[in-house]
Amino acid sequence: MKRNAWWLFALLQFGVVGWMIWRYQRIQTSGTVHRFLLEPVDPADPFRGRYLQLSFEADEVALCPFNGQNPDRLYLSLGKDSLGFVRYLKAGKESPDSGEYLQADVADIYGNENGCATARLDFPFDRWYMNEELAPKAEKEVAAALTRAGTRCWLAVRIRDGKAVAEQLYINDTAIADWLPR
Amino acid sequence: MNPREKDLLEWQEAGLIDEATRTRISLYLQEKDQHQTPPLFALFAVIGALLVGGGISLLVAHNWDKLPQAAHLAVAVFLLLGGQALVFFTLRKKKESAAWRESSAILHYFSLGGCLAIISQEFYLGGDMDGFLLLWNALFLPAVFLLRSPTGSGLAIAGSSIVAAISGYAFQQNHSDYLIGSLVLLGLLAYFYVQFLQGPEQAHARRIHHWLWALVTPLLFGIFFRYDTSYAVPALGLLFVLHRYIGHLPRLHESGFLASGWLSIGTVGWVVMMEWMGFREYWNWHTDERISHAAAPLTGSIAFIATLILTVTLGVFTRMGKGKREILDFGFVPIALSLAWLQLLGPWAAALFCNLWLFVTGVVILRKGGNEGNLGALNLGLTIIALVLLTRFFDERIDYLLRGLAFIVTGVAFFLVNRHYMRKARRKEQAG
Repeated sequence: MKRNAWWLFALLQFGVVGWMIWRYQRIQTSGTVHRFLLEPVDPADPFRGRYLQLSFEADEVALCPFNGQNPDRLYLSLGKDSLGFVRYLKAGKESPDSGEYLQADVADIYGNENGCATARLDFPFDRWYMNEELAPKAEKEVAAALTRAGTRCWLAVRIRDGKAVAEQLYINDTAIADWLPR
Repeated sequence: MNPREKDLLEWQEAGLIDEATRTRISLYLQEKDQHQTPPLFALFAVIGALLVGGGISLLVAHNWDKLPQAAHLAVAVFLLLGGQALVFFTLRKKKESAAWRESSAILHYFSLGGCLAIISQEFYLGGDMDGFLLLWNALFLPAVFLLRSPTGSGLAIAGSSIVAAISGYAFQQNHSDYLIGSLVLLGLLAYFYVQFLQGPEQAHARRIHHWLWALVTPLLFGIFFRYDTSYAVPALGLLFVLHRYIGHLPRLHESGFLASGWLSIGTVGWVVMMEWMGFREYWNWHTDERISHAAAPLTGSIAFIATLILTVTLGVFTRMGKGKREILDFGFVPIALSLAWLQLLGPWAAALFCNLWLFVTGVVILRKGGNEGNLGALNLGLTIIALVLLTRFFDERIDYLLRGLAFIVTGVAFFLVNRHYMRKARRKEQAG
């Protein structure tokens, strides 16, 4: 009886892990690439190792009209600026019928002027995991790059049906791993 | 010759048992020994598995970025399958061995965590520690029940409590699902605690679980007061009285104060809360907090009232467990009455009442300890009295002279009472 139950639970564990791999692999291989401008720092996670904590220039969106109800999640219609970086065309509680969109959690909502409020967003791709030796170097390089005029740090994100997977972190057009002195 | 065999032979020679009985007992003990793991071996297996498991987590956290993605994912799947195979083998071949059950539960826990960590690294999944831990502990939970592993249960209680604390105390709106999920896990683990950790062979594990649960409960109870902290201290005081009631329950009762985490933490926690409420400044702060959080959600007030009703009902109308009620089991009385004095007379009356009740409690316990010759109770009573005085050390409204004399008298009382009762106990021993 216990052995049969264990087969069932083992299959469930395997199913969950397999579903996670399939879900994110699908986005990684066939999602559309979008570019998010960065402001990172370097902390550590006891289980998943060192990473760059990513925060983004575009981490807020206007909610118009705002009816006083705080949504947990928003669907952002995505467009691009003249340099190819993401900008939000619209934010709503339902996924749009057409065009690219991203699903993001709402961290908080503030201000309520002229029927509009501002939502601060929590993205599902706020960490860039790195080897423990490289992460502190990357943090320094990115911090230096952010203060240099004309240098841009950005994250390429694959998005499919509103779900996202981070693809590569760039300083200008060079992947972070290639940018670092080895 | 086995020492127990020697005893049996001695009993047979003394005519206490016949030969047939001796042989039957001897066979029974031999069979029991075959299935049981020596406790020290089980302990070493647990420590070894925890170290290996921790090592797996650290190796994964290194992040082997030079390996291709396929290799990373293969390692993740290998870790998962390895842990599962170990559990399967234990259930099939080593079901009776505590060392195997414990070590396979621990290794499965960490290998599952390692597998999920690699997937997070590989797809740069978001940073919510509570979401990560919830998935990990939820997937692990069946192994706790199937292996009946106390260490696995302890790991899952720690993991689920961290999830509940992170998501419960966080002011982010979208973490309520994680909180509910972690509470469901903790509910199932509480069922494991009450159902499976019975019997003398589980005594150590059960006592560790008493302590674990007695510590986790106040941590989680605090979530109710995240918007409005004004009633947190009296409510925690009542919760600690409930701890004592739980400690008296026949199923969870342990002989010995320290063996029961519920009684120990319940008593110490209640005394600390009463000390806190013994300061007039606390009641001033409480009044200000209530005014400044008038518009906050009522979760704190509701939790306080619910705990008060539950404690008073259980304290007055039921008798949980055997034995007479002690003064500590009426710890809800000063909390309820001091709130009444606060309304009627002001903060000074509430603080004074808490101090008086605590002092009387100390004296009653001291007297009871003296009558029964119980040195533990004696010292608990003296400690409570000393604490009441110690907190008054900082009270500028009482003269230095008065405070100094009170300290010296209590200190001397400590020496004399202990000396008297130790001598009494020694005389009793010699007479016996």
